[in-house]
Amino acid sequence: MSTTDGHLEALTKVVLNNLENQHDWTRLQTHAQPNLPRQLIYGLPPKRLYVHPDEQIEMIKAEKDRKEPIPQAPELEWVLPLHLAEKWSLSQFAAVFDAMDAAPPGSSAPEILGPDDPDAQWKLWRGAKRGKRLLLATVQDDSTVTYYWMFDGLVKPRQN
Amino acid sequence: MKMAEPTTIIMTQDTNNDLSEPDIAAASTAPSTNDLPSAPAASGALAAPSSQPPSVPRVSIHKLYALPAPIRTFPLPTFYPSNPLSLFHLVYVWMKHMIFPPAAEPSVVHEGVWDPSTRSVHITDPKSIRALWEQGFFGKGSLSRSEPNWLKREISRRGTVQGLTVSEQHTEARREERRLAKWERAKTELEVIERQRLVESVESNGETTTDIIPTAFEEAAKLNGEQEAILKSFKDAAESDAESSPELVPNGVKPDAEAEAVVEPAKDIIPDEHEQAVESTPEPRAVTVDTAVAASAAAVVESPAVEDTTESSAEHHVEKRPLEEAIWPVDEPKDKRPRLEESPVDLTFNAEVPKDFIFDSESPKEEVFGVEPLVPAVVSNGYIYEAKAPVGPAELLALPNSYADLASLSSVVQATEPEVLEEIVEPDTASSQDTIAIAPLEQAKPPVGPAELLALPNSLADLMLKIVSVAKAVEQVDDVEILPNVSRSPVGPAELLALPNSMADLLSRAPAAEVASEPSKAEVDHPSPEPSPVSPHFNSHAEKSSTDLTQQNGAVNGINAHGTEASVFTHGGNGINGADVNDIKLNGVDGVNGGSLSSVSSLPSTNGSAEARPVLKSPQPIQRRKSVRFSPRVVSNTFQHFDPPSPSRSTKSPPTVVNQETNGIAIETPSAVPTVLFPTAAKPASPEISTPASLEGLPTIIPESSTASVENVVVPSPKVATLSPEPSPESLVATTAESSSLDIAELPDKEHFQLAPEEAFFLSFALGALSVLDPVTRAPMPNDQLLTLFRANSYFPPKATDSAMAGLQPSDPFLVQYAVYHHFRSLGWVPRHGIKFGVDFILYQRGPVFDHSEFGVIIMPSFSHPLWKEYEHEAPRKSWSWLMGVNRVLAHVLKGLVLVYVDIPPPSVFDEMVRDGGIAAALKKFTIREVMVRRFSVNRNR
Repeated sequence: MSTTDGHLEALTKVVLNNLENQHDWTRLQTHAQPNLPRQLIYGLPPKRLYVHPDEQIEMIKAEKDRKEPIPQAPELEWVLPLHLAEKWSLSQFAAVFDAMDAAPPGSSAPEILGPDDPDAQWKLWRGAKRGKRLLLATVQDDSTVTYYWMFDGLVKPRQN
Repeated sequence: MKMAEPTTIIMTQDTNNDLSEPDIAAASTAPSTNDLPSAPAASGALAAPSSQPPSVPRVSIHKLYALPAPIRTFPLPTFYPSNPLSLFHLVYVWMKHMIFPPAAEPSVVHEGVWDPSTRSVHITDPKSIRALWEQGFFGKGSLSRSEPNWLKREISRRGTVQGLTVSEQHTEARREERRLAKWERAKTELEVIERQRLVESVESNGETTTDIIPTAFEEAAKLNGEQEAILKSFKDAAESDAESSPELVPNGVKPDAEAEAVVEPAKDIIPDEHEQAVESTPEPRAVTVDTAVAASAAAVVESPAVEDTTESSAEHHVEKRPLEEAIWPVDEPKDKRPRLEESPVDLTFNAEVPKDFIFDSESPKEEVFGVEPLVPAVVSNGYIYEAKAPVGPAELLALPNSYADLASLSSVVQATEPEVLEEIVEPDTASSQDTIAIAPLEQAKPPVGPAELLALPNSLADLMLKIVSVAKAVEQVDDVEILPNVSRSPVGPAELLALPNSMADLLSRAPAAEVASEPSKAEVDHPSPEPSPVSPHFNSHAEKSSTDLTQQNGAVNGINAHGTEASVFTHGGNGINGADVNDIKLNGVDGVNGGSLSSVSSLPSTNGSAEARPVLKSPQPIQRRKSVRFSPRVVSNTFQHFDPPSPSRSTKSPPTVVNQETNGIAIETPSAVPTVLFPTAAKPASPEISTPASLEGLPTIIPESSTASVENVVVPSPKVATLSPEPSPESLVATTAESSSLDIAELPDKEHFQLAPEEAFFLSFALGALSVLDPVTRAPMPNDQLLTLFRANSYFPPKATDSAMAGLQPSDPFLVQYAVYHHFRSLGWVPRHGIKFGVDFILYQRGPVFDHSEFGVIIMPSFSHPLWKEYEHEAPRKSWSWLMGVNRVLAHVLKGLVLVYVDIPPPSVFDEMVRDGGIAAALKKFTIREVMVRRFSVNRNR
């Protein structure tokens, strides 16, 4: 068992290194929980990675009123390191989703300034309405790391 | 002694890649190894930024990547039976290789270290890295897409070395651009949806709103790209014209329901009469008239209308209004203005009538008698429709048919703009408006009738002449005639004859047109035979006074065609046939008009030339002027990650507002040009220079070295910045700048070069060019140990290697993958791992540097051997939807999908072969079958 643990650690290290140095993530942390099958990584990407389509609509509405683009500050994101040779089942992924929180620890939602805040609607998407999502980081032995979004449950498809 | 010397030569040949042996190396080595020594040097220079000399020429990639594998071959020269010398050459090379054999290949064995944490082989020696990358594209930079360039990227991000970029940055910028475009698109789509919702809610309420619905439709039409462009140009044209003559639009918007192709009847005219006119077009009588007129570019339909309209009511109406208008074209525009003020006729009419009049009235009778087709002519220009959307059939037909059409339209529109915008004080703006409005009239008229079709410009030269004439028309406001005349395309035999026969001809015409004085220009510009004696004849007309001229004109026009023909015929000595003379007559009439107008107008010529300059540029697309915003307050700017690394290259970024309050003057600088403003604003002695707020965002771009000029200017010197009264941000900036510049000097290369197990095993087992060291003992591992290691590590979690190959099978992922890798490598392909595209390998024909990969390979292990029934195995279970998905992805990136079936030998056979013949014999038991999958689309494969 020690070998597998060592390899999971090595895998996490590979992904951490890749995120930090190739993709310029910051505030990278590993996150372990007893009910999690393996360590998760969370960190701050250099730019915002995912915008929910409904949030986009709210933002566009808010932008119309304020006449300037709303800054899209990056959010902390979950990362699940995987190896290409692994075979994962849906139940394993479901276990991960059940164990994790929607937002990584330390992530701050933009505060809503009273009930009359015109930006309240889209701000909700970065706080209360944020669904569970994580990035699958698939490592291949030639050092390629491929990232895929994975969501908990059905999610409205993004406008392309 | 003799023996010793050549051996040294061969030694140098090994190290130096054959350059020391000129004659034989050229003949015997692979064709392009000669330039290899320079290649690592160049790449080394790239890796070390400080020693990058700009003078080193770039090595061609074909030379750099000439070798397909890190080994060299020494083939014998070709023997040509026809050339006996080649035999001697062959014998010489063969003898030489016999006596002094070249060193055994691979002459260079690279060293790699097995890394259990990444389950791959790491290469640390930079020379080996370059060699393996350049000779066969082995390996991958762990932090790069393929070629190891992480350090390069970091350096370029810090911005010390100018012009150093990596492809990842371009990708980043492109993606950001795309994201913004998508955001904009989402915005417009949301607007449309909301509008539609509004419309539907209103409809459900039972109200009939007229104004909301059309706008929604318009919006929907706007989404359509092409239509949008056309509409926009049209609207621009309409707007610009509305500027010059504000009442044009109300006048123009009166399309009749039964509007024929081009002719749009005015509301004053009785419709049935008009129909009659149009019906008469196909009649032979009308055709004869046409032949007399055909050369002109104006609408066909109108000229028969001239003859047909004999109704008294129509004439009555005409006499009321257009009679005075009929004089206008002959009149000077200055005269027009006072009349405008007193008469109820609006400006629109004023602006419109002259050219239309001239255009459409090729038959001279109209001018004199003021026959009513004038009025339809006013309306019938295609230009007027543009005020509204093309919904009716006539408007659709009136849309510009060609790009040239549109271009000419826009060029004319642009011609108006510079005058209006730059506010060149013209003595007579009204006159310029006249001429400017002419051009759209003539050119925007879409060719729907047969004559218009014939009148389309036939050649580029034709079009050029037209453009020149447009320019000229503005230069001299009043020789209106040039336009219709010149743009008249050669439909008659005379015009055909009169076309320029050679380039020299054309050239001689153009300068003549430019040099000519005002009145004569009208004639010179004609594409029709200008050297004919007709022009002096009409010149004499032109010099007369305006009132005289109208009389004269009337006289000339009153005579029917034959009279003029006769007179011209006597003039023109070069035997011209009848049709020709017709044309000359028409030209002459035009010439008279033009001459008279210009003679009367007395335009100051200097002003005309000044106006001409912007107009001459008219064929070019509209150039937007830079707008500079001045704001009194300090604006900070945060730099995004995708922004260009250094301010010297940040020209494409949105302008950073750097606000400097020095000496009470607020200077706003866009970040693209900080060099211009800072030297003036920031005198070195002035201590109150504060570092711009926006610089806090990117502390790394400020080096302390003074090599990069731009950064140097942005912060004149770090000392000044620290001297400044506000301490906290500047000192922070300065210190971070220093530290970052220190970082650049000894920036650690966090990237390593990584060989996948298949690549490492191929290099080690098949080529022998790599020896893999054990990470602990640093001892080279033999191939069978390596194979066991790789096989065990192809599982996750890896299997134990020490327990006597427990659990290892011939169906190990590594063995199957290696069989495929070896197969394609030995066939000359460059396989690389292809998880990015959802496949096992992607195949490059020559390498990732040269082209995109052609195929995606998916490995299908096949347990077809009968003995496999005895063993437990797991056959691949792939679904059709999976295959469809993979195929879709690959088709999207223009790659073919290849399914590679690997027939795996059963364990008994495999183990036996390993025992008897080693790895090679065992690998021979794997057979490879390729199946190419291509989607068959019935529609596309007809």
